Amino acid sequence: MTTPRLIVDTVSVAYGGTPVVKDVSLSLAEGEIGCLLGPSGCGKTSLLRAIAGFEPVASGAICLDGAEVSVPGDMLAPERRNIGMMFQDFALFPHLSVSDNIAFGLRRFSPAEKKQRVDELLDLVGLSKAAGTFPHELSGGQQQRVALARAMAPRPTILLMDEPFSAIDPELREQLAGEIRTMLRRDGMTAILVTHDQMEAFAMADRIAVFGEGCLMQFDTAYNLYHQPTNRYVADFIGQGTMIPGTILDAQHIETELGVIKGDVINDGDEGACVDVLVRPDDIIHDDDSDMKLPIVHKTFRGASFLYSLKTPDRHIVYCLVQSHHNHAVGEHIGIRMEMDHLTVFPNPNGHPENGR
Amino acid sequence: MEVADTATQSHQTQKSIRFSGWAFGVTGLASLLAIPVAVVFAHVFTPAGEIWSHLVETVLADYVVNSLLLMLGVTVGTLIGGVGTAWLASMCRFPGRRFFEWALLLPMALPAYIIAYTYTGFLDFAGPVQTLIRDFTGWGYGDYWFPEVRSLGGAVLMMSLVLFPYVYLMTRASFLNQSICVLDVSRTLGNGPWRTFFTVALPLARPAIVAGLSLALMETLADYGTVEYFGVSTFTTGIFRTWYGLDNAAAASQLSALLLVFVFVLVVVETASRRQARFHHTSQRHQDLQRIKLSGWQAWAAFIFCFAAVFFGFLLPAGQLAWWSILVASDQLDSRFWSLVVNSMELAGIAALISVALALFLGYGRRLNKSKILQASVRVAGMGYAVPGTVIAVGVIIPFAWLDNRLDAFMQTTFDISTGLLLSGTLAALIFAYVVRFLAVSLQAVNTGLERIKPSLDEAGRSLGYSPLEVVRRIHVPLLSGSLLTALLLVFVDVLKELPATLILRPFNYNTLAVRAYEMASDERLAEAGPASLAIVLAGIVPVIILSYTITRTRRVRS
Repeated sequence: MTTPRLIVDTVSVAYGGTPVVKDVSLSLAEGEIGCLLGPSGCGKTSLLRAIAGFEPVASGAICLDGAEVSVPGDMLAPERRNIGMMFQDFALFPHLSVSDNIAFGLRRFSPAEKKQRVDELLDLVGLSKAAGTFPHELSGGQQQRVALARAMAPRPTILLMDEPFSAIDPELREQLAGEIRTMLRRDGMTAILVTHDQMEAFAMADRIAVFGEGCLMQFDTAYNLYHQPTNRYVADFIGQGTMIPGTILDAQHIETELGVIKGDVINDGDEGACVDVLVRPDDIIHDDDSDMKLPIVHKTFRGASFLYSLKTPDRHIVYCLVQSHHNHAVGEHIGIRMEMDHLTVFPNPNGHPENGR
Repeated sequence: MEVADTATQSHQTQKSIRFSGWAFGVTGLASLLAIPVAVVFAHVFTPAGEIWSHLVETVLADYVVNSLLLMLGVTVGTLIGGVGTAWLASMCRFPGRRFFEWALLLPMALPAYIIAYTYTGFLDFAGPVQTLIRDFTGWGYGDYWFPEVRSLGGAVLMMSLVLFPYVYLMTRASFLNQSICVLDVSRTLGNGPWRTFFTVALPLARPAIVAGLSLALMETLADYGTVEYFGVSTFTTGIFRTWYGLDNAAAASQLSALLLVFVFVLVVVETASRRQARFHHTSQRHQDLQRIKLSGWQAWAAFIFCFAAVFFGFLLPAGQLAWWSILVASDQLDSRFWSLVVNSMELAGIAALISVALALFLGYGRRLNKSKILQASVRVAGMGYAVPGTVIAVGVIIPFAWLDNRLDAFMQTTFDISTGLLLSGTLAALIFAYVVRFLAVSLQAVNTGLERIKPSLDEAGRSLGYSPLEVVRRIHVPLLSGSLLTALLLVFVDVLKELPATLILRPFNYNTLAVRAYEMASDERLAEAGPASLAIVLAGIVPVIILSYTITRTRRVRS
């Protein structure tokens, strides 16, 4: 096994004594695209800046390509780390043309190599025709691609992207994220992205690190974050879903107000323990033949589907995703049945299922 | 890795030393620049003897009343001139509007004392206007009444004519920056364009108007040349008289301190208004205003009003100066005149270079270190623009003379050599005063430039493999050069126009263009004051061009 491109080893970052990143560990293999995901103020940008060498670490170590670059009290200057970075506002040099911007980091290249690499990148990002134009003449999406090309040009060990889509129209973000992923893949680039938008994270990253209040909550694939969150924070933050109380019968069954649910109980849970079960909208299947009927309290049309909010007997709200030709009115009772592969459970803070709420 | 570690270690320590050294330099510089004002205030507690009570009993009331009346008059004058023209040039449509948009800045090229000389020459007994009246009517001396231009009212008029562009500039910017949504909301709520102007646009522009007015009033308080020439006793003339006539530094300082209290109020008002003006922009969406189309007599009235402001504020006095210059050109434009030009350019050039270099130092200090002490220091360093030149001169000469005396005494006791006045009679004192007064001008231009260089640009440069120094050379220098040039020009021209500090602090027999204009006018040789005045005005047009360029550029970007 080769050394990971990036190792973050129990790193803490602090501003004026206040820790904003606490004991975070993660690593990225060559060619992998990672993502730091979390709400604003959760420390994800601070960690990215520590990796870039703009912020010192308070504890732990950061390694790039096997070499220690940041330890407490010492850090390699950003310009000596061989990193590429994309900034929120793109930070294109307004006095340089597109090709000069891309060539800016190619200081050790001969003129011929420089020209070849710039042409290569212009081609990669599809801006060959705009080589001589200046940044202010470009659209936001084009500026972003120039920023990407500039950061990739010196073939950095790792590409760091700080909210690269925040200056882009929301409608275009997912599409651009997909395009950038394709470009990174074609170049075999290792990259790490910071964002607060799950859809961007899902569209770009192989593995996603979910951050909350400075701590790394879970570092996993998008699928696992959604289906097997390891804590309530991730369960809440990723996707939609609600918790309903239940009692563990055995490793396959949990009793709830919606009947006995069958599936693999994945988190630790003793038999007879009172727990909360995570129920996602796609775990509840609409079935007119089912005996269990719940009233609709709210509905949202989503094109291909309806998202119904249903009220359980104990007055919990659960969501149910239904194909949009099943058009029911608010107040109507609809039949449902539970279909869950994995049962994600968390200890119930109130201790007793009947007390839920 | 071992080697790399030691290298980064030293890099780290170097960095922290440099940063603290920078912070130290900035605070030290700010303290140095604050000396004149501190000295003036320190003398508040020095007993000035009987002179102070003498001043209080006799002339102090005059100083206060005249200064207040002057401010009141200039307030009315610049509000009518500034808001009126700003409203017409930005909110209305009439023939010549585009020309007036920049031409209304031209009066700024004239210092108040120079316009005072031209109107005196134009309107006094022997001037063309009265001569024409006499020729026409056959009246002689004493047969008719004609308003005396050399009076308090005249001073108000002169200052209003050249200071209204401050109000015009700020108000116009405020009108153009008002979010179109707010104005649209007013229209959808049933208000017509005129009603919208008075109920929405004008109240929203109020902070900007007040800020512009405060600047104009600071200039009013700082003026020495006009009030001295017109024989109006104000604080500045009082300080001169106490200094030279009564030879009392303490009393002069105390008058200065009192004047600074007035100035301080203006600074507070101006700062508060600017802050408020920022909050008044509720949305980012701007577009060209739906200008009110004026036609018929309205268009004529608008045209005449704006034209009058440009004509009486610039064209007429500039024409008068040109005419005088032609009259005396043959015997005035000699080697003595050119040595004046050289002196002025030398002084202005050196002061501008130093100011811009210091502004760069302060600007970078503020950018690199966000600590409160440093931010406050930079603000202190930029306070000089509000302090009248007379006050700065008093605050400079007292400590310099003290230092000279100490040095002289020390040299005499130890080496038996008399050094005499080493600093206070030299250009060093004068240039120091200029830097204190005009650093704010260069600081603002440099900061505007630095703000355009977002921190992410630095980081982008670093992440692409350039050291901080290389980032400065390859990114900052090319991006800043425009702002630096602007800063140089603005300070240069301001120094060229400056009169009272130059009068007090210049080395014996060292003359500049401004001093020559003043001396000739004081000798009632107005025509001979022409060439020097005209040279100052021509230089003063440069900042007007820069400003009007900025104005048209912002308009282009918006459309």
